[in-house]
Amino acid sequence: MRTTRDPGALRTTDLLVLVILGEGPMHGYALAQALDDRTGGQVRVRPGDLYRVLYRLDRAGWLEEVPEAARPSGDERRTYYRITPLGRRVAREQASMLWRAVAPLVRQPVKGAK
Amino acid sequence: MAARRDWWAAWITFWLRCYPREFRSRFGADLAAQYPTPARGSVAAAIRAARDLCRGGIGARGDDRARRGGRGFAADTFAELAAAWRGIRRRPAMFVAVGVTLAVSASLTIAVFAIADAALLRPLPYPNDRQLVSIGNIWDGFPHASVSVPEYDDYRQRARSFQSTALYSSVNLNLSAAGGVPERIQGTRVTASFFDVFALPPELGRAFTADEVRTGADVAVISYGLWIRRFGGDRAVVGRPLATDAGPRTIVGVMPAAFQFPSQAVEVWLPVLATERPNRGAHTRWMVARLADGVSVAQAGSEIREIARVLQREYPGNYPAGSGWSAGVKPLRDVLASGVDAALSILGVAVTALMLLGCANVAGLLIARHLDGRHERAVSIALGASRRLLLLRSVCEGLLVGGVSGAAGLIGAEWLYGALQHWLPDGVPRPASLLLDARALTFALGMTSAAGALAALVSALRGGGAETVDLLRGTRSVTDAGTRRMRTALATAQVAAAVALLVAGGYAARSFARVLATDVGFVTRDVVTARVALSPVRYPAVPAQVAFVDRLEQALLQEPGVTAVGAVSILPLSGSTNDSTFAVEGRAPSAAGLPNAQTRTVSDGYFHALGIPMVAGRAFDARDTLDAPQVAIVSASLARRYWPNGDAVGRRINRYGRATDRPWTTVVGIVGDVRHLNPMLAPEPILYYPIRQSPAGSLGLVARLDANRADLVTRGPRVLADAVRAIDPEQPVWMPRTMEEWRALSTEDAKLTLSLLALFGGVAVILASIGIFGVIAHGVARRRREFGIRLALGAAPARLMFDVVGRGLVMAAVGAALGLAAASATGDALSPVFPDVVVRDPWVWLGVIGLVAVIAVAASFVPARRAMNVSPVETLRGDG
Repeated sequence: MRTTRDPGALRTTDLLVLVILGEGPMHGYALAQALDDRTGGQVRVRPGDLYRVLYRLDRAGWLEEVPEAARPSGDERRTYYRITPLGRRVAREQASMLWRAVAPLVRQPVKGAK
Repeated sequence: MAARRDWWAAWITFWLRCYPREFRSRFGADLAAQYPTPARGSVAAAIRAARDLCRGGIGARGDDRARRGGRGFAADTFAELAAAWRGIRRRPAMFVAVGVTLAVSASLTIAVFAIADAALLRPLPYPNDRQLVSIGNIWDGFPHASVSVPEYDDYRQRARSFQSTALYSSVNLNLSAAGGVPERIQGTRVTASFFDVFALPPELGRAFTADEVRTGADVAVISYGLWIRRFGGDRAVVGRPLATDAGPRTIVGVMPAAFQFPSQAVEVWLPVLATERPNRGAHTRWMVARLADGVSVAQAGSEIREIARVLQREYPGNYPAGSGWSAGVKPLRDVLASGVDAALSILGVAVTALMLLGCANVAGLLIARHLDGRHERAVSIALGASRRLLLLRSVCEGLLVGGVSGAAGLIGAEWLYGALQHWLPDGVPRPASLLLDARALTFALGMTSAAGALAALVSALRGGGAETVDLLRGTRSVTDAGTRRMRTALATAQVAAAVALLVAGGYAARSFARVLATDVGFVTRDVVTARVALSPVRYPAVPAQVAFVDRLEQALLQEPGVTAVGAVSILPLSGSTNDSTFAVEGRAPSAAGLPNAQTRTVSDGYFHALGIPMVAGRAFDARDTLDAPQVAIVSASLARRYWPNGDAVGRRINRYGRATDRPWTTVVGIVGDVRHLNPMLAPEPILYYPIRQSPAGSLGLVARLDANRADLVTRGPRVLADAVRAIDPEQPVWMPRTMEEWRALSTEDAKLTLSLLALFGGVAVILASIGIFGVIAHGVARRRREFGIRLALGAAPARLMFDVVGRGLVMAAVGAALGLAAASATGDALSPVFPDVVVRDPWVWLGVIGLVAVIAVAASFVPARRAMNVSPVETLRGDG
């Protein structure tokens, strides 16, 4: 798989997906729910859009599928995704870059952002 | 539920094609799992899923990969459909013209399709309907005829091709007045196996048992319609009596509404008469069977033919060598639909021509639009749009307009379908409404979408070959000669189709006018008719029947304004016939067997009442009783055929054929010929027997009214019904009609065909004139500069006008010649409906050519005036 460290300008949704996956593996539906929760309903993605994001992140080598054996018992049939070490690094770099850029605009620290 | 799940999975899989293969193999299943099968009827969910998947397609909406063509075909189509819709909304007038053209031609095509579908294609409503066949005798001139009871037994016992066989014959019976008006209903006598053959279980109760049929029990199975009408759909009807004039019968079952065999009109099924003496020559029954599994119609047919060969050796007396006798098997569907295929083939040709015409017009209009939009497209191509994408956009436009026109056409078709249903044979299932019928809907939308897309594709390929650079440079060197030729050819083809339809309509109209003027051989004005069937219980023998008719005739003649009355076994022009063989004294039967003629039983006053002239001899009168010598009256054509020397009166015939021990019948009179079946067919020879010597359970009553008694004429046929009820209130009277109504009904098929040809011809002429107008107007617009220069150089404006109109006329002339050739080649197709049609009728040709010339001039006139009014100054300045 072709991997890249160059995030270019990572889209907000892409970054959010990486951030959420950074907390633990998740399946597609749970991921969409988490995005909704985390942003107070501000970012709501359709399944089609979400998988477009997953496809992109997957191609960049920033996330991967959880092997069947490692999925939670009783839920082996659903595909779980987890962040790769490379993805974690890219997300962190991107988040701090963004943070430095937007901090002056934001009065109060944003909860949950690492 | 499983089917719904499959359907849904296929739907999602289809839209997943918006995504690249690599994506699908990796995420496809997981993404599909996000769209669980929705609950019942969730069309909205399907649309939502499609839109969602399509928008989410990799590269959709500004993704870089889209520019490199990474978008899937489905996503392209969806996006282009949306773009096409926006385009249509920007320029509605053009697409309204296209849509109306398509909708008008489609509505006729859809209606005819629906009729053809019901008559010829749709499965019969019985399980494994393709196994159902009819077994019939074959005689010279009769490809599928009725059978006798012994023949049925032979076929049943000897053939191995069938899993079940049954015999049936029609019977009519009177329902007693108990609880209402006495009613005449149609029934069918059947063997015990009858309902097994169709394998459709009763709605309520049961079919007949073998015992009931063997003993001829007084039981009945009734139709769904009768159950609702007479018993209000009471589920406790099984076991209750059905009161008939021959005594009560116990209802044992009710058939479902779908069971309409042998026809929709049949409302009761009774066991066959068990007491009848089998007679191999009495071909009065019909036979149905279900093929054994794996046996084809052809295999069964050859087995039955072989059995017939054996029977012919065993019973040479019944099947003489010259009679052409054999037996055959036909699919039941073909037997039910026989007779409609001729009318349908005429219609099929007409609607196909019309649909092609509509498509040609649409293609012409779209080509014009493409020429207009050439510049815009050249820009798109220069900016990197692929030609494939532009082609796809055109096809999407066609699809959309076609689909919308299909829906509009369906509404028109629904209306036409009502008028055409009359042509559907009895006993075949038909949709009540096209709007709710999946087959009609599929055909309508499929055909019009395909037609629209095809026309758009043709126009895009012909009208869209833009040389990008030339166009953008603004040079006018782009030539569209090929396109022009194509449009001219299309318009010419339209004229040809219109001419073919008009000529066919003209032939039909001339033939029909002759029919209306035909003398049928009897008086039809101021004659009223009705039918009665005397109950075999209360009028068991000839004397009782004669007494009834005598009483009725006397009562009617007492009515002021009734000038003459009579009764006949079968009313002329009512659609029924009855014929039988007879022997002529002193004349040896020919190789083909005994002579055959129509036979009728009539009352004394019948000929007088209908104004049928006595040519020689005497009418029947009170002398002709059962004890007196048997007498007959013959029609003039029968007299001419068998006694060419004009000495028919006094000669003898034997109505029982070769049975010389039976009494001979003396011809006592000759009457004029009548056209019995319909005014279009030549009169058939008829033998008339007196009612006093020949029983006739079912009678048609006729009464001639005094035309000056307006009150009586308004009461019409009710005069007869009232008179019958006054004598016997239990006696049903049905089909009260004037003789003029019978006459109109007898030519209804021809009239309907004629009206349709006129309708098609009219629509075709309108479409053709739009076609000519389009081509000429486009030509004038293109040659504007040329006309300006010619005017500036001193050309007379009239000369230019002549030039333009001349082009229109040339197109019309070529089209007319092609159309006439086509009409000559296919004119014979009219002969089944219009027997005396004269093809190559010069008056029709002249009329149609004149009409087309007028239309061509009218269609070219407006563009020609435009050519005349071109301003030479503006043209030369370069603004033209």
